[in-house]
Amino acid sequence: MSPKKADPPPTESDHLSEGTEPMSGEKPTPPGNTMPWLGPAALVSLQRNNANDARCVSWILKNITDPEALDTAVRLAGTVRWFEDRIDTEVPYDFIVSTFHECFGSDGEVRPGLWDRAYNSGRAMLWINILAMCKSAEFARRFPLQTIKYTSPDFDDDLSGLLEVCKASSVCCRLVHLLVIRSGFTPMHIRWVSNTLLHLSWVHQATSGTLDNSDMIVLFIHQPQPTTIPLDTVTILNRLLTWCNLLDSAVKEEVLKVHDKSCDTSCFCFFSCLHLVHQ
Amino acid sequence: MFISDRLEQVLSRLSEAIVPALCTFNPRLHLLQYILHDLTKLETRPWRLTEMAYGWCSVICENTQGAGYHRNLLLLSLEIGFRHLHPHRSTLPVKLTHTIHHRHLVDIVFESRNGDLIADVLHAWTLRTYTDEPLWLLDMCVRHLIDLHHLVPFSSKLRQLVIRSVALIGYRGFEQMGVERFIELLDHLHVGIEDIGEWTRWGRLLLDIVQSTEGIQHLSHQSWGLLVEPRILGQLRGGDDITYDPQITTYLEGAKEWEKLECWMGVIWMLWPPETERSKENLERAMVSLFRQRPGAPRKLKQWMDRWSQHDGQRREDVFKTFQWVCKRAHETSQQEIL
Repeated sequence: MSPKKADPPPTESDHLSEGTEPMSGEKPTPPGNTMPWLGPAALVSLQRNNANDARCVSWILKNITDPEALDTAVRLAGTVRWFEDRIDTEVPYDFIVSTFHECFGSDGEVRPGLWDRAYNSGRAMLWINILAMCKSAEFARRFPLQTIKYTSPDFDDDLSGLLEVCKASSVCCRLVHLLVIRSGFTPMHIRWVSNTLLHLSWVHQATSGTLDNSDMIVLFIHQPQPTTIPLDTVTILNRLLTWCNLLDSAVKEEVLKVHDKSCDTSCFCFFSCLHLVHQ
Repeated sequence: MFISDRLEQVLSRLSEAIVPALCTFNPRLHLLQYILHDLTKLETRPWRLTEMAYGWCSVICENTQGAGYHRNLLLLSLEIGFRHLHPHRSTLPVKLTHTIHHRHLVDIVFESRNGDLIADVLHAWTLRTYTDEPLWLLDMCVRHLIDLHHLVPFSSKLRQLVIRSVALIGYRGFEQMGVERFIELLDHLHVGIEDIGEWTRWGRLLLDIVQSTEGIQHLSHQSWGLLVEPRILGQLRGGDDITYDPQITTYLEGAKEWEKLECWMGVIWMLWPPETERSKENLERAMVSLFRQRPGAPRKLKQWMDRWSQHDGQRREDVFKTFQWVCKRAHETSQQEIL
């Protein structure tokens, strides 16, 4: 009953998903595995795969009516790195948003049997909105996250956690909600959240710099308790990068994509060269 | 370029950001609790993280003495740095910078009565790294260590680290707290040869104990057995800094402590083998009285000497031959006296 528990292998969007062999030797990326500090060729390869995924998801959501295919595509939409395919694939945002809203009744509660669809479409909606914000605030206006008042059943922590994030009124509030790891979260959700959290921290860093005192007041009000459940290394790494961004030591996204591991200016130079090669 | 490399890079970056935040009292401090909690969940921690976390401890102690909210951060840092280390790990290829501020850890950690935290701090101060072990910090732990077994249940890890700490501190460090109390701690630790990494230090420690008036009375048979272990004594050299005290033989004979005397005879033969006829005669006399009371002693002594003489060349072989000769005579004499 829970397709979301069996997510497709993480794509490039799973920014720091499972560690694999170094890319320096240009080894093929094992399916489902991506990594930060990518070498140029590996980056190109992943971008190509990601572009294919984006086109595929977009096409299915526009042209296919089979519910299973749609559910699979919506699920994938929450992990594909949109806006990075350089051919401006149309993001099926409106379809995803309407799918999400259709999962809830007039009483605001999720319709029976649609929990997974609600979760996957909500996740895709939030993900696309945050990726758009990573580009610019102006661009993000094309992918608005509407205010919602939906509720979810108590037994589905992933969905209720996601709804809390969607309900949050500011980037900072969302950050706080994403920081919270409930004991009922599934490992896949925790990992997805860590990646989303990292991207949102880039948005926050770009717009506000570091957390100021008013942000901290929000944090105090919500008082998230440190989690007691185990976290995998990738999740922790994503969260550590988030912490760097929220303190005064931001690690830019570009740094994670270049071969040079040292988080210093030489990385940016290298990345600039990489851009030239691509163009 | 494996994930651990990346982790180390990110951690270095994060540490740079954490250090200034640790010095403050502003609301940002609240964030640090979450960061440190995340780090306690890292299953595979780079060694450098131990270095960093120990550095955070110093910063926290320097700025706040670990008071209030910072106390929790201090203990989390300690956990991040050392909890994952196996108790048998006695070396780490890092540079732990021990500062005067780390002394605040002593009271904070021991007063917490948390065995895991105590093990963390003892591990920090007994690890052999690119810097020397901070014996001055360990010395500050003595007043807590001496009665620790009454206050905190000893886990296997804590026991192991207390054993290592005791070896590094040595007898002199504990003497002032009372020899009886110290021996009580040793009895509780029930140290076996397999627990000891520092055989030389343990040999010296036990020799120091038996050569003190109170120590010779209270040291358990089990510890005497450890003292005579050839692997330990084989590391020591009888000389100026480990002097032979003939009063011990006299005391043990007078007190009829035959089992201890048996061990002591072994110690003498391995550390201070008699070189003159007169010293041989004295030793033979003590052995006669021992053999009379403990018929199994010659065999036991021979076993120890046999193992001891198998290493370290001609000199030990010569000592072993002398031992066999003196032992045989003492055995014969004791048998005749019995008849």
